[in-house]
Amino acid sequence: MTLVQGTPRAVTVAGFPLPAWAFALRIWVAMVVALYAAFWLQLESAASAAVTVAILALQTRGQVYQKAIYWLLATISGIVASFVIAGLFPQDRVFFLVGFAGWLGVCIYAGGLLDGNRAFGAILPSYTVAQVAVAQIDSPQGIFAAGVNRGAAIVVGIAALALVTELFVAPNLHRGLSGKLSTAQQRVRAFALAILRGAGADPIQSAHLLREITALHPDITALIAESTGERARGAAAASAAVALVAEVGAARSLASLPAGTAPALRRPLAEALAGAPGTETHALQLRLQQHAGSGYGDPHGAIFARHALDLLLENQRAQDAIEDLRAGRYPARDIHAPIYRSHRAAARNGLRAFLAVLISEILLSLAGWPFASEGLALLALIVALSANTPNPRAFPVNAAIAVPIAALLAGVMQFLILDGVDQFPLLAIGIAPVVLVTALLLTVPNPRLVSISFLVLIFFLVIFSPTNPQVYNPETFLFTSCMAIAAVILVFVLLQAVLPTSEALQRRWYLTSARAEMRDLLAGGRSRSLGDAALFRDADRIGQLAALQPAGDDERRDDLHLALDIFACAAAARRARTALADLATSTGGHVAESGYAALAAGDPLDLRRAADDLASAAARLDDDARAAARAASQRLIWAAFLIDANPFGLGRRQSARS
Amino acid sequence: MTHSFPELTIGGVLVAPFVIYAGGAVAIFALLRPFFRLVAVDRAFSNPPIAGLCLYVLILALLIVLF
Repeated sequence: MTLVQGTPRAVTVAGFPLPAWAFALRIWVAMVVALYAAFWLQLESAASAAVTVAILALQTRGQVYQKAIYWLLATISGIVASFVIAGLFPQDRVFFLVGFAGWLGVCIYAGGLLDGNRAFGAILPSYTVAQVAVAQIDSPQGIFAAGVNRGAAIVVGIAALALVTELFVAPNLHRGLSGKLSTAQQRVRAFALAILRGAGADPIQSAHLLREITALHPDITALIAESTGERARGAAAASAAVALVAEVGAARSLASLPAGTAPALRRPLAEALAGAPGTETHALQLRLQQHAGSGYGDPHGAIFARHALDLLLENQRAQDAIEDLRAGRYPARDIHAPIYRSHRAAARNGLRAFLAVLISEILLSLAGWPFASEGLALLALIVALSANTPNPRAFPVNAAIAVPIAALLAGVMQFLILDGVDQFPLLAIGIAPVVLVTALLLTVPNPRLVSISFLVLIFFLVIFSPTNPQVYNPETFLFTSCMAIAAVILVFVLLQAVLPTSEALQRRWYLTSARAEMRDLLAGGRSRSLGDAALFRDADRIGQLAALQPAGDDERRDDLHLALDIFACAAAARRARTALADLATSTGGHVAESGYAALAAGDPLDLRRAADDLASAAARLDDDARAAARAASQRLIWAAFLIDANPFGLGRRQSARS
Repeated sequence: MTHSFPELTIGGVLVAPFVIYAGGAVAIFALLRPFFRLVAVDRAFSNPPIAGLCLYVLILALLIVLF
């Protein structure tokens, strides 16, 4: 969570810039308004309203609204699920608890297939069931009232936060996002310029560039929630992100060609990329098109020209889309930016959460402690939050640090600072230091500190649990704190011990799936998307692979190298299929058949032969079809070149054929 | 003259009249949105979200007064 870009950074108070203070004040005011409204409406679970504000504590309007919508939907589905689970097992606690653990597993599986606030929305129904149904396990007749109360408190919390966000003019998401996209574009351009000067394409740098672009996906989806007309901005941002990914791909393709290819084209291309006037770019595009269309004597030069043309076009597309994003216009190309999610990893995480909660339930029932159901609800909250975090491995450690701090702060607040008072203004002033400091820390660039502050803020409110009138019962506080700490220790141990997914295993999954999809794409078995949207999905997979903890530097480099080669080969196969489809449309189909067959075989020799056939067939065709045949021929040669450079396990088929 | 409020009962659960007004105002606001986009209301205000909020409150108040 970083500060919104484009805001003045000069003025700082106590080391934090003014926008950070504005954010912290907004959260505190929203929390106070939410608590006041919930007390005034005499809601039983008024603390839920404050917890809602804490959970939705994000810096921009779009993010707040998107998360609020998902939080509301999650609550409604969670309340319905509570009724269903309680109704299915009315007299049977064992099945009830197994049902709850199963529901949690299903929610975490669903969350594993999404990203950002959407994943959060998929996971949170499990927490609602814990709060509504599990907390009422001894009195199931109270589940309906508890559900309605909780739902009402959450609506109050969301309404308060929305009101404060609007009135205090929270920053818009699209400003920061266009800044981030511009920065990414500059970096991609610098990467391409370095390649044109003769530098190699470092796999780690390339993967980090792709990761930087695909990491913007949650923000892009959040844009739509911001306000009227943001659908256009969302489409523009998605279009820019997809163009940037394609630009990285084109630059890497240039780097894969021999270093001395087309020396005459490199300099004008670098100048055009660096920002020469538009007319020269247009002239260069025409020159590249001519070069790509007539280069049978020098196939590498023709392929270079084709990739250089792609690079220029994608750079221009990204630039236009970023300008559309700033202006709030629809982009020229409306494209979807899908993400890659592994069903296998999501299913394993879901199963892990199911087992962890089941074991905790058994341990807590055997221990026979008071407040065990509350402990279970807290445990479900930690497991649910742990599934929706950028770094799931570090989360239990952060929680183990944050929960004792939150318990301590809640104790100090309750028994030293407030100590028996029941006036609302004193409560509002009392919680201010904790809320302001934790909200300020949410704006720092250190992800670990952000995660800990977020948990401290939530658990402070959960343990302190403001009610009207405030209850000052040391026993309740002690049991709740002990349960929270016991729950966090249980989660810490269980998540490490039950079905741990090692980074090496995840790495293997990513590479296996990439390879399998590429083979499928070559064979044309299933109708996979051939557009740039599929390219973005592949880039997202590389981004996730790059985000894993480094094993050894060499091993990591090798893995990323292989993943990027597969990415390039899949892109080449997609382009070849598109070019063959164009050719088939203009000639009637029979000319492209040998190309399709060669792609399905995945054999470089066959591909080159098919490319030669197409080149000789081109002479007999009319102008349009000739251009399509040449393009298809070059795309096939490029695919053959990439498969030659790295056979990706296709070699077995080649040796069997030869 | 006493103002009578509409009552809504779903499955035996009485829903507060305010919820009906608030929901109705959301529906009317959602219906008006395409029109606002068409006439570019956003450009008339320095902070369009606050203008939107004010409009919502106006619609809500109008509903409460009229029905």
